[in-house]
Amino acid sequence: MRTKLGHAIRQVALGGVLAAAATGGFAATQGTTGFTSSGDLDISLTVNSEVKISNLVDITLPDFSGTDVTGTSGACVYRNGGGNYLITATGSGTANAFELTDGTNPVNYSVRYDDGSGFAAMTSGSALSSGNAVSADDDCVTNGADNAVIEVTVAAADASTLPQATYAGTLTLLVAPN
Amino acid sequence: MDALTYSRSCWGCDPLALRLLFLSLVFIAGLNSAATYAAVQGTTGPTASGNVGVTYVQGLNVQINGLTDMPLGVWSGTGALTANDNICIGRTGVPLFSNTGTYRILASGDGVPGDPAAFMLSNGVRQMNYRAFFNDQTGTAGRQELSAGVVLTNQNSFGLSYFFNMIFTCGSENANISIEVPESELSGAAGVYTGTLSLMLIPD
Repeated sequence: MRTKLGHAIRQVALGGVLAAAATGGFAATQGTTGFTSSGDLDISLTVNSEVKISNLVDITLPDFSGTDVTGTSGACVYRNGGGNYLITATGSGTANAFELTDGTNPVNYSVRYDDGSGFAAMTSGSALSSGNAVSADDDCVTNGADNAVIEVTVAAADASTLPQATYAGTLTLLVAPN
Repeated sequence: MDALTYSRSCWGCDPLALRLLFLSLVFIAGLNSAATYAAVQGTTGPTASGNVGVTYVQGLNVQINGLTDMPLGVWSGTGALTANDNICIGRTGVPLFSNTGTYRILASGDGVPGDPAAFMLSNGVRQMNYRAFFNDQTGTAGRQELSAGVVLTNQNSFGLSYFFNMIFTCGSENANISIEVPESELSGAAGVYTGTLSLMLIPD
């Protein structure tokens, strides 16, 4: 009986120690008795890097008239705290190629990206280092305007050989903190 | 010297002089009683006795206890982060079944006292402000917002709770501290932010 009782007491004690340890750190300082009494508690939180791309608009390219066919979409790229980011574009063609199709005939297009410092060519699946992400809000309302432009171009040489049809595809843009 | 002259020189016979003498003796006695209760030593004899004065001054005592850290976790990207904790306020000098003993709370954060931004968390580079609240009962209903370095007055609790918290060290939670980090502060740069909130309990 004494053995069982002692074992139970040890279990309770051990449980208490483990529970106390699990609550983490005992960093809070308790007050002591006196005319005044002061105590401290610590506050902590974690803010992960957050990014967002928004304000994208579908691009309807103009009719081919003998020259390159180009269209653009604005974009808002947000990062908490602002700063740099990586943007990766992929197309909906074979192996993520930048490609439009009418269901039968594919046609390639090129992509350029401007983060405010000038256009840079993009390669499908390759991250492009960019900057000037907004931080005030995640939809560029405070900024007053989008802070990036995506441009797509079907070269005249490609467009000129295509059968008459409607060609469509999807361009996917992935933004990550850098 | 005639009788009249004598009677004037006999100051012990003068009622005014007697009153002055009496008041002086009372004053001197008062001085002695307010002094240090000098011990009286015994004298040699078949028996001897001495006296020692015993003085006890009961002042107000308080104790704040039951504080725990507030890990707010990882911000989800939207909304404010909040936390609250029931704590214990102990105080002497209050009858067990009354609520006649008020107290004050003085809170301060890591910033400059008196600055509204003093309730501050930091990741070492960037700071974010938080709001702090105190409630003189458990839970957050009816809480009052704290200003760093500004005393929050007229807080109160029941004598029995005070007693338990003095005797048993947080035997009866009777107050609450809560914080809120607004979303507008959280949308800044990434990182791990920490800070310390200090509370001073002052009895009335």
